[in-house]
Amino acid sequence: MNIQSDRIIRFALMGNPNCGKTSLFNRLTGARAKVANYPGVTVERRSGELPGLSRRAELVDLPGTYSLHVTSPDEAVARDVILGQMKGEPVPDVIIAVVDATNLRLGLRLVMELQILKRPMLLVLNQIDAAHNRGIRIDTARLSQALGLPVVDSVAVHRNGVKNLLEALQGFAGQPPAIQTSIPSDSLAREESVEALYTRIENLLAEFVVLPKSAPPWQDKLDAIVMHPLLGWLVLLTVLMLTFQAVFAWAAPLVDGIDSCVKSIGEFAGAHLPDGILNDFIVNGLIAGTGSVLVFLPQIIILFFFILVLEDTGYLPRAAFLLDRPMRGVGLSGRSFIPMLSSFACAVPGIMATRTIQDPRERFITIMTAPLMTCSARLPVYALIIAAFIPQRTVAGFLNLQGLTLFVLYVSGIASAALVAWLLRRRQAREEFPLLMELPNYRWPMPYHLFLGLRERTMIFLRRVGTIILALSVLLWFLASYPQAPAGATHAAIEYSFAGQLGLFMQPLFAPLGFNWQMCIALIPAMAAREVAVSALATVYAVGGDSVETALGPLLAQDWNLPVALAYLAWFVYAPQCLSTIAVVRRETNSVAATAFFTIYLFALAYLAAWLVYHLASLWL
Amino acid sequence: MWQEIIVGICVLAALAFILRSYLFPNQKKNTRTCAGCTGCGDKQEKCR
Repeated sequence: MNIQSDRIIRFALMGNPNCGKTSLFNRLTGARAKVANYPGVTVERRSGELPGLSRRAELVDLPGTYSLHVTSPDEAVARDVILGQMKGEPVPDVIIAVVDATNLRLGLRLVMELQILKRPMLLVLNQIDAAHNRGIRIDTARLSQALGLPVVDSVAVHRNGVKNLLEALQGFAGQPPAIQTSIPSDSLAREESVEALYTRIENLLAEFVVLPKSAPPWQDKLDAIVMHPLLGWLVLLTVLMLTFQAVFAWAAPLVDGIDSCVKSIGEFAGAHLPDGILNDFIVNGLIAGTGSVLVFLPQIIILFFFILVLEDTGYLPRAAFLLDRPMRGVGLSGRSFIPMLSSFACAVPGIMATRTIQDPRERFITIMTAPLMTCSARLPVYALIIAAFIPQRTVAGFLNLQGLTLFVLYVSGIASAALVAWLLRRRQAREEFPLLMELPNYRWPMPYHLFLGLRERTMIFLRRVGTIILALSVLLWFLASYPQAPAGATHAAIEYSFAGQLGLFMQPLFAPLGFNWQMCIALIPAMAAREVAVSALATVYAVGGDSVETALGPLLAQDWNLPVALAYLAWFVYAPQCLSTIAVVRRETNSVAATAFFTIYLFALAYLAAWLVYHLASLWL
Repeated sequence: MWQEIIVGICVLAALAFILRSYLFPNQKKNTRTCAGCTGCGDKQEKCR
């Protein structure tokens, strides 16, 4: 074995799904990778510098796996990194085996498999506080002796919970790391049966661990309700309805507040800047473009608050089990639930999360349908049009009609995904992969996690407003302002501009859907990010002569009618207006044909849906 | 004239930003910590 004294030392976090590896990673490196109280959140390796040790150190976080005998693409990433078989990835010097202290039985199986590799290793008993609260007592010193490994406990979610771990890591960093070589996969051949492995684990548990008689009874009682075939659905629908009601009802004062600020800034800039092109650029380009999107920040925060609370309490995996049966009816399974759920935030991580799906056909169908889930970028478009066209009144005594409309749009996406999945799956013979997922314990949502999650979503939104939306607003203002109208022009000046000409050129294609040329213009920059449609409409109407002092919603209400507005909503439910999503479909399917199919079928579906909605609404409304 | 110059610079900067983001994504700076994809907010982040 060669030894190098000054090279960087590499630690790798390995453990079961949902045992807290990413929380440890965040705590040790200061990163802010996504964590949630369900398995399968991490689907690829990520790395960060590990500060505070006497030697430069790198920490690698890996997807969770129950065994080195892997069954899905994300688990294969973990195994390949550990064995040193991933191209361009150095073999880790030290394995940090992370085990959920409340579920040692499952975690120790992987630890024993890792021991076969004969690599420097450290066992971390994470969530030791939760284990103590449940009456689990572990004799760490004797367990360490029996396993022949250093064993430390940790609480990754607490600031001081990784002190012991850092001291143990310093022990490894203090010595020059030996150069590790890759290990062939066939060396993983089982030396003992799974039964023998578990017998060994049972013996260890009996000797060194005191387990409580049973799980807390209230958790079982709660599970009996939320996973009940009938009551469970009632709970799920109530939770979803409450979320969408809150998005409109709670956000209204905050939205109005931001709207007033944006208007005041616009008025102030308009009054104090000298007349001319700069005034027009700042008021109608910058402020109208970015301000019109910024007002939807409270609604996005409220939506993610609910999603994060549901994630952190441990409710979401239960919902996955509840949905497993109906999803099997359309050719998917509860395993597709997490990718679909992630797609409500953004389809990009949702599509990447399909790596946890074992069945390749099911994975393909999930990739094709996940973008039909309503991502947060659609929310500003929906909120703008709903607020402009759907009256603010109560139906059935307690439901806000605007919130109900938003709920229907979300359900339309879900129902369409189910229909497409069924159509894609119906001719395929399928292999059954039962849903095996560990249910996490219920817990109160942790304010720290909520704060991190909301801060992350807020920063993502503000970064988009300050970068891509701002840049596209500037370009759109230019395209909507130049060339200027010729002398003696009979139409509005904007109709002579590049944007106006483009909109008028596209309009015949979208005329059957009722779209006017301003709506057509907004579709082009919205390919970069859907919410740019809102800023594009604001810029086009502002440059077109409508005062920015009037909010965009009332302007649209004057210029469009209800069937047109509904058709525009239908377009945004289906259209793949997101280049990032198309790029990630290309990467995850590794197929140009699949990407072309994805893009064409969704645009065709969007056109058909908008056409149907426009004509049906014109007949009935 | 000065107003046209300021606006022109802003428009060119916006154009450069869009081209860099969508046509030449590889020119983006590497971050010290690769924390995986965080969605559209950081879509070009490269992870091995």
